[in-house]
Amino acid sequence: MMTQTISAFSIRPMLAFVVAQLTGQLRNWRTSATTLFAPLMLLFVFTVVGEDGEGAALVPFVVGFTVMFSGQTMAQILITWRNNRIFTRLSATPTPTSHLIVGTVITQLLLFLVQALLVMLASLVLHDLSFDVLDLMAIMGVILVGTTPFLSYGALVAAFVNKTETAGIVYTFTLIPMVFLGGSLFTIPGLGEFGRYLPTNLLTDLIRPYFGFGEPDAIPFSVVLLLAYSVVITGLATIFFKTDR
Amino acid sequence: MDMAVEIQYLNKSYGKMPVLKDLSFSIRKGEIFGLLGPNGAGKTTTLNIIEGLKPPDSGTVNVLGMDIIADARKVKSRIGVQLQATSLMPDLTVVEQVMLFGWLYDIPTNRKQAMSLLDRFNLTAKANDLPDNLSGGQKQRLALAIALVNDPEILFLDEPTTGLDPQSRRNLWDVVRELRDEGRTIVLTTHYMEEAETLAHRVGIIDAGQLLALDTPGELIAQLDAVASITISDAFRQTDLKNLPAVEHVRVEGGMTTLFTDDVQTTNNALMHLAQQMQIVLRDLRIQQPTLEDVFIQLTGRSLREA
Ligand SMILES: Nc1ncnc2c1ncn2[C@@H]1O[C@H](COP(=O)(O)OP(=O)(O)O)[C@@H](O)[C@H]1O
Ligand SMILES: [Mg+2]
Repeated sequence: MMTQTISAFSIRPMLAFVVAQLTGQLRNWRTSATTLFAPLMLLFVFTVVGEDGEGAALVPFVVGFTVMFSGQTMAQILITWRNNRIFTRLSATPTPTSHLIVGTVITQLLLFLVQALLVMLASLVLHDLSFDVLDLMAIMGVILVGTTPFLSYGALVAAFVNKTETAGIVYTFTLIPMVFLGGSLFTIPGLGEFGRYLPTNLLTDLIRPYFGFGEPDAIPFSVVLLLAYSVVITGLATIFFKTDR
Repeated sequence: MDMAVEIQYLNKSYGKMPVLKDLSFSIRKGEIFGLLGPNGAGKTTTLNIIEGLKPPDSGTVNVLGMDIIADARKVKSRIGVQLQATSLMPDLTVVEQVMLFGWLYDIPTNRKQAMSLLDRFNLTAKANDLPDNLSGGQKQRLALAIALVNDPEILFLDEPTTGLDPQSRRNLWDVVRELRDEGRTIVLTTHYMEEAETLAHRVGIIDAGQLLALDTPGELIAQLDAVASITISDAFRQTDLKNLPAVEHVRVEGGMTTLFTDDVQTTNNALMHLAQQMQIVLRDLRIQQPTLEDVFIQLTGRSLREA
């Protein structure tokens, strides 16, 4: 065996952790497929039941929905690892826990990018939408920016909840009201401006123009606000999330 | 003497409940050190603090000359850790787990290197299995293999043989001795007194977060007032037995005679000699030495099993 030198900062452990998690996900392809196909199903159902054009209007929502629920998976992963003492074992190595969490976030981002891409490809076929490469890259960027606050929110939920089932319930029942309040699905009259600034709505507002609905004028504003949400929620999650209890 | 670990006045509470109370002791380089105590004594908490997994409320921990709080990462790179519960990534195969942990020490670890480590622990055939498909003993061996990926100077094993069958337990003892012969310091916790007695060079007895005694098993037992006993089923003359050297008293009970002695060796030799002289064939001879169990009883008033 070789002797190791501990450098102040090496990203190799983090990358190895990402690779390991992706390997595990691929092996667990049934679960991955279930996660992957939920939004595709949703898309398909909307298309079948919707009148002409209605289905297409829902595509950005389905993409947004997929992104929003990334946090639920994040919460469940963190809780499982904490309960199985995996975090404790990992933190016996010199790799800082923050690198492990960032590695997990990167893994989840990669998986959700793939998922979002598939949804968009499906919507191309189903709804005759078209993207050019620049659009596609912009959408990827938007999804990355949009996913982060939700992944952090998942970590925040995991900080206060002990069971994966409970986390699923807490996550869903805090997210769904936000979706409706934000008017991502339809506008609730009388709510005024408040809902506009919820992360759910910012996200769908960002995505919508790329599917041919509305103009991408408010993009810088939404991006900045989403990043602000990311910083605040990540900060809270870092404070409250303990790797063992 | 160079110390591998030095802890001083360690205190730790969970809520209002104190778990460690002014715990102080040192572990020498190259020894097998056993921390013996009943469930809930604070063994795991002590180990976790030394390993840098939990901060103490007060007190200092020095590992290989470094402070565990100030130099946590440096310390972690030079020690190996096996937790009480084997915590493995559920979706990674045995060989992938070893590789991952190598990389987490920032050591490039390829499949071949991981396989050679697995080979040492007889896990080659299981290399491509998921942890769920391993037996208890195999999981322990994998945990041990993973604890060795960084070629550590000190190895911490938290109840490594709990839940293992006697054969696997003995095998693990052999492995532990081998690892220490390679020059590593071994720190292990156990609630099995025979494990501490046969495996450890020095044993710290811990109960309710306090260190009650620390010495070699031999010394701990020698300091006891307890005497050893020899039980035989054959009828000698009582006076002959009483006159054997080192015998303190003789008890006859249900057809069995028990000699209490403060020197088993001497009494036993004399007894053999007497039997030969009298042409008596000794049957059912049984020698009972005091054990660490008796040490624990004397220190706490309870037995290790019922504690
Ligand atoms: N995370 C925790 N929260 C609260 N109490 C704990 C925690 N961990 C351990 N304890 C308590 O601390 C005491 C010592 O535990 P531990 O160090 O695990 O003992 P041992 O390893 O000797 O069995 C026990 O009473 C246990 O219930
Ligand atoms: Mg324990």
